[in-house]
Amino acid sequence: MKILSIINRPKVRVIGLHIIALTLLIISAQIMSKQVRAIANASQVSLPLVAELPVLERRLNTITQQIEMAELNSVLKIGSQKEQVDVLILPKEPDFDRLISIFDVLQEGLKSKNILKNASKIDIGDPIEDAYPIHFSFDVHEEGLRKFLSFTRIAGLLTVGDALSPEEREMLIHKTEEENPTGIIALEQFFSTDLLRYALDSRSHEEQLLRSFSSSDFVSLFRMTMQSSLLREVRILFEGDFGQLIDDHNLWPFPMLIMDSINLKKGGAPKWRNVSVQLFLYTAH
Amino acid sequence: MEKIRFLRYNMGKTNMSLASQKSSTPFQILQRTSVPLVLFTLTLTCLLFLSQSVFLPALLMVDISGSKHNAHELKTYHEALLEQVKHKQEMRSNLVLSMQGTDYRKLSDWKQSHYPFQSLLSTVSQVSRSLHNKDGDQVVFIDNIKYFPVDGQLKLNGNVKNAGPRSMTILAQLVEELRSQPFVESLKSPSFSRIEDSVGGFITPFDIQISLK
Repeated sequence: MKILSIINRPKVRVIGLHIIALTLLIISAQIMSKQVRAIANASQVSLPLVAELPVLERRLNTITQQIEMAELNSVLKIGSQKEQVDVLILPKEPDFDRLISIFDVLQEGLKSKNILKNASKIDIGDPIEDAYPIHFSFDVHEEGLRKFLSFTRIAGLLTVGDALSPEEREMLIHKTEEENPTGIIALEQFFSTDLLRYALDSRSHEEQLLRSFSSSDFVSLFRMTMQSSLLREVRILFEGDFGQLIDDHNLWPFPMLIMDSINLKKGGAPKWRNVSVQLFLYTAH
Repeated sequence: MEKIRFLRYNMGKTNMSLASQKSSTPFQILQRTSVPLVLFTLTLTCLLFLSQSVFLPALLMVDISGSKHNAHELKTYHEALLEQVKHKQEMRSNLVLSMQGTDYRKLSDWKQSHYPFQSLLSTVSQVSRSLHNKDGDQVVFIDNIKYFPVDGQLKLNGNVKNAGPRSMTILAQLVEELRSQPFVESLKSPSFSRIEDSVGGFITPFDIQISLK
């Protein structure tokens, strides 16, 4: 009763009604600003998204199709590659005889071209966790040094795909998506090509892949990658007799060797260096 | 007469009401406007609420592949699509290159991540050859280069000669040139000293340590 009598007072009623009106005005202003934001959002965010969404959907479809195709193809290749890795690249027990034979063939190849001399004996240390330190030194001409460094970079890699950096691989894969999505199978086959087989006949492997792509964009990107990547060093290292000798002596693939340190000193003649190197021969856990 | 009296009465009433209006207090004004104001704001709020909940969403809906989405849903859908594309790209890369996630893949990727010594060597030689004296003779002689790829360290040891009293300036130039190379994370400056050789020339030996990116 007391409350009713207070409300019925004219002053209270007027103030109350104005407070209600003010509150409703504030709510209206908020709703209006929300609507303005929604309209602004629609023109700034939604419209660009609408243009982008169909492209993304198409891309997703293409990649899904490529995955289905790649899945079928990948089942066939994994087994043999895994076996080579387990037996020859990362064996449980290191095969030192095979390693020495590889160094012998490399050394003889460089010696026959008169770009290496005074090679020391190869010292193999006690293993540190799952890696054996290997130390040796030699005098080498600049050209021989280039070949030796290429050898250390390649040792332990098995396929063409392994010799490409993740960025280089992704660039080529992405290009197939734009140019010819079904070309992923040809690219997958190219990536899984044995590195030595590729080096011994690089042209035919490259042409086989390029048959799946007609656009000059892909061809130029591919040629550029072949020239700037480690594959160029692979081709140079295995050209001549070296690749054939390695193949004939069943010394491919090389075990996993990672350089720990290299020390270059001035050699006895111009362009000659005295090299002292320590590598790690890795084995499986 | 009756009519005239009626008119006078009415005029008098109107004058009275005008007089009373003129003398309205602010409170009386507020009292008179309060109900219309409430009614107006209430109507406005209701209309805005209606437009917010019914008209605006209907107008801002976008039809994508047969289904309608509002701005928020579009953003969420776009993010989900981007996430799916990224995930599928990873799946595709894993399929195209076998043995992902194995020790072999980790080691080969790690090996690939090291800077190739050959390119470091070429850059260092190029930089040292680019510095020469006024006769065009070589002035920077690097005797020893050590590279530790796992630690990302490169150590250069040598000396600057045939540059007369400018040997320390040449060494400073060499340091700056090396520091500006894209593979250099940091370079520990060598100590600058000048010694005289047996034939009266100046030699500045150096020992430079570079941390690679």
